Amino acid sequence: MLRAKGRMRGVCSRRADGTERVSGGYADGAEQISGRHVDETRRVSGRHAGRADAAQGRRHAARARLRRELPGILFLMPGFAGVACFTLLPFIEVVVRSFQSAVTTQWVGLKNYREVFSNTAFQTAASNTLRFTAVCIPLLVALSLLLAVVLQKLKFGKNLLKSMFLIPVAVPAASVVLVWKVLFHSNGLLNGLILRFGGEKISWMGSSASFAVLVISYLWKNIGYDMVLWMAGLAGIPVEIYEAARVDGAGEWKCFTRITLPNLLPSLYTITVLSFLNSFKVFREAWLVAGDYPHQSMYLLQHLYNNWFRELSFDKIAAAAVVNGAVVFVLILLLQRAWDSEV
Amino acid sequence: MRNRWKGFMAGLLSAVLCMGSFGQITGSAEESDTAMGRYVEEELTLPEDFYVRDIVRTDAETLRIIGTTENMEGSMAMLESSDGGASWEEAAELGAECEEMYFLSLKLAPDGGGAGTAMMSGDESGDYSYYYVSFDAQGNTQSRQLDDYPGSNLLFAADGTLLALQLWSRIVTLDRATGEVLATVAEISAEVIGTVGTQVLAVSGTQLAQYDYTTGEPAAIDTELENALFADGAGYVVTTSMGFPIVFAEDEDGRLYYVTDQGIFAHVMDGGVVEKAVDGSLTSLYAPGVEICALTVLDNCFYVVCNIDGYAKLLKYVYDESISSVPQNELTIYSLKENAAIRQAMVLFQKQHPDTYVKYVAGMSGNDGVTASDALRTLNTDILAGSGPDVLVLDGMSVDTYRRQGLLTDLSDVVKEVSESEGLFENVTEAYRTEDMLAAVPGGFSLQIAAGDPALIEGLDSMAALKELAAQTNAINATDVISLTGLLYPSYAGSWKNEDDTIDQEKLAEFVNGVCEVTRLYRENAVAESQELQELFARYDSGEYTSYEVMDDLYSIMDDTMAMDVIDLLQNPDQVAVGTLGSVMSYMGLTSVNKHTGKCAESLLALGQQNVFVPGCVLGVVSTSKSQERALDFVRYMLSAEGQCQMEGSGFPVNRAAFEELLHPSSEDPKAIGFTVGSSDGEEFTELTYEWPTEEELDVLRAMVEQVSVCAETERVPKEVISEEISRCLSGEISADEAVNSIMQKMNLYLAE
Repeated sequence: MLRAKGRMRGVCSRRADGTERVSGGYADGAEQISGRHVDETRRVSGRHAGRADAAQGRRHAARARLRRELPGILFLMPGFAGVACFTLLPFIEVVVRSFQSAVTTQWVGLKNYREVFSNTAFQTAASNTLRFTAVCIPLLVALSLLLAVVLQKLKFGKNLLKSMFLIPVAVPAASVVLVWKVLFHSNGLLNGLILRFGGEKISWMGSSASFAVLVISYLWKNIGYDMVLWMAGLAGIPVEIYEAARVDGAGEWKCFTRITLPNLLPSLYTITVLSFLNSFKVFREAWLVAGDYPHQSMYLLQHLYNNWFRELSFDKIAAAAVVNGAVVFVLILLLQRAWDSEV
Repeated sequence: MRNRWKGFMAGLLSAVLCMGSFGQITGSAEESDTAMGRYVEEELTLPEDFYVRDIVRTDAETLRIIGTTENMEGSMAMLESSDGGASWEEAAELGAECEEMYFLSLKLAPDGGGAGTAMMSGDESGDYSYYYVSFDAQGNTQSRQLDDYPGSNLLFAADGTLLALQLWSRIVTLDRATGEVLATVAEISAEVIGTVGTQVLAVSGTQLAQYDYTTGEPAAIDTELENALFADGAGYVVTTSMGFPIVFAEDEDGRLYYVTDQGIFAHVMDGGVVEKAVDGSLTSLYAPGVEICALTVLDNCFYVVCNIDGYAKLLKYVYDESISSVPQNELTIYSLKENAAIRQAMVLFQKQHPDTYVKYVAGMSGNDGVTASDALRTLNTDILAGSGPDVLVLDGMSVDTYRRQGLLTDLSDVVKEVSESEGLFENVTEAYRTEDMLAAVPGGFSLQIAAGDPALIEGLDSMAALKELAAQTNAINATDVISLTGLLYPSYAGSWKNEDDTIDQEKLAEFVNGVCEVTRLYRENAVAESQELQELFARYDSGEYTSYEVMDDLYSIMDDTMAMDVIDLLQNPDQVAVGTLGSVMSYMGLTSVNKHTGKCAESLLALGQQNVFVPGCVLGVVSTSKSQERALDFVRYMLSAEGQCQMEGSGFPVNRAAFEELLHPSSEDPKAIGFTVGSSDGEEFTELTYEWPTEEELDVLRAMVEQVSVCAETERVPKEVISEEISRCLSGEISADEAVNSIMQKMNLYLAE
């Protein structure tokens, strides 16, 4: 039975006394393929023979490891080929182009980077994008978690509410734009309400209020999706832990902070990264409503890239894309590091 | 074993796919190397001033045409040719009664006779009388007066049966002698009919119907033919009485042919695919405004009668085995919007360079929702992919952006060459000169002028003066007020742009406030006091009428807005109109108004900037083009007198010889060009006879053309931003100051990018 369950392994481990142990075979040790103690060999054949055996052992281990990992690698290959063709190789091209002129592809060194960093439009767009991310991600993560916890507690109507919160995810961007226009036009529903209550019209899309519109739109669109992810995480926490805690006298808040939150940490990383990546998609609605040049407060990096593309500024797009890619990569690495250290 | 077999099969499949793709590439190359022969076009020479209307094959060797002698002034005559159209002899002349008639439809029968419907101006009451006319091969004519407008398009089937499409709703067979209806084939809405065998083909805007005209029974639709007819969204709508968008013909063997602007096609009914025998884009058929009248086939050659720019032409398509099936060189021309001048020029250029296939791409077709930004991004993708155009028509694009990116070739040599040989208006052609190069050259230009009451024009030198006029009752043309942003933008846009690429807010505010204030004052004064103007403005406000700016997307009205103002100035002699003057015809209208009212002068508009011209058909050659020499040849051709004379809708020519040719057309007597237009404002009918300007009046135009020196800013993005914000301001959504702030903020982003 043990043998049937055993997994192939190739293990090369170093003992505390400095000797090496090379083994390959089933984990349960039912079948040793090439395992032997190097120190034992050393005693019999001397120093050189010991090295030869060690090398042979490593080869065996490597072969065994390859054999073990080959199916995984083969399964990954088609996907990786796609990523390489459509993402990695083009990105390498983008990196190369970031050092070249747009049309004539002459080598210009760091000129494009200097232009990008000194470009006030880039500064505005980058700061807006960062501000948007900094405001939206924590808000979205917190609100969706709150909703998930509340929905989890509900006994009736849970599925109906879950579906309702998911509807915005399925609404096409073009339809969202119509809702935006109806709501936020100067003579739209919101201003109608404000006027009815004696207030003054707000130029939602033509003032700094447009940033709030963008944030609300992002939250509305993504909160259901994140909520479902949180609920999946919540479902994975054993009920017995809560029962035991309550027996020990823990209240709801204590259960939430001491059991729920720590157990949801593995989900946090995924949800944050997905929310971060989804935050780039809010550009579609912003662009469809306000065009190439919206109010300054909702002018995002994607607006800039879009306009640079129209103006044939491939050189600047390439440099900015490299910078953008690097920032996103570093942020994801930081998130992963934080997650690893917590888990 | 099974896995190995699967692996082997997968590998084999991959190898086959790879080899297949290589094979296709190799095959294409070989094909382009070896395939020879295609139909080439030649224009047949007809007797002088013979205006051809129809053509028919009367036997295996003979062609017969019918038309009017003395260019539609003389008698109707039939000519015959037995040498494939090389020479023509008069076969017969129709009866004298035909001389006074204008034929609405005129068709020849396979036996050499024919029939037609005609109208004739009647008695003193001015009513027209209508006739059915039939004649035999010898010209013996008989006519019968009709009770009403016939509204028929006649057609002879191969067996001599006379069919007619009546009022685009009924297909009938007619008695050839009397023109009376023998039988109704079908009650169907159709634009054009054709025959093949005993079937009549009825083509409507979007579908094909087939009937047996001997029985009136519907026939099965030939789906291959229908698919080919309506491929790529093609549609057929008859818009004039001079020709059709599609004409059918049948050869001796019963094979169907049809001709459209896309070419000449051949098809055996229910027998397979539709073949493209002649590629229209390589011929005159592709020129804008071509109206096709007739098609016939003789000895493997096609003969097409068509109207091009009002001139009737007989074109022959002969198969030439010695030239490649497709031209070996390709030249791609790109413009954002459809440009009739380019389309016309490419046809003529292609004739001069038969080894070159000129492909024209318009980024915005106008019916697919593609915006200018979308079109530009697509263009840039093509450029980046190395498949971009060779010649760019930079109207609506930023010349400066493309120059800075190194995309445009220096045109100095080409412009210098044409300037030295033929003379160019260098005050216009040097508009895009920078220190190191001439990145683009306008093919035409319009003037920013004010026209109307001389006393009002004299003082119109600032926005303040325009406001004063707006405060008076009806002193400015109402339509101009509606489109004021677009009309004044060219003369103002350069004034607020500082040298360091920043915006002078004060100047910008002057423009925005000025436009808003003029509109407000006009509404409060002129509109408030006139019921007629109130109704007019209500129609604009409700969207029933559209401003010049909106219409410009389709018709390029902003290049020559004065054409629209002429009748208004005639009806309101105490008014002033502002806008662009881009044609001798419009200038002729203004001078004619002056002859009529004595109160219509013209001067260059001096608001914002002075001596402004609006460039049109701005040409640039792409520096990465693989056909750069040919692209430069095209620009050279466009600037030449020949190329410039055919330009329409892009303003005055920049070539001095072509400009003078416009002022003194050598082919016609200018004094005889006069024509009359009329307009009714509901109660009163106003009529104006256009008379050719006198030499003194032409000198005024010449002086204005020589005087202009400032090229108007035509970049699309700033114009759109400013128009949008002013529009919001005019609708009361935001104040003028808010509009200025919003514009400043967006423009700063645009300029910073």
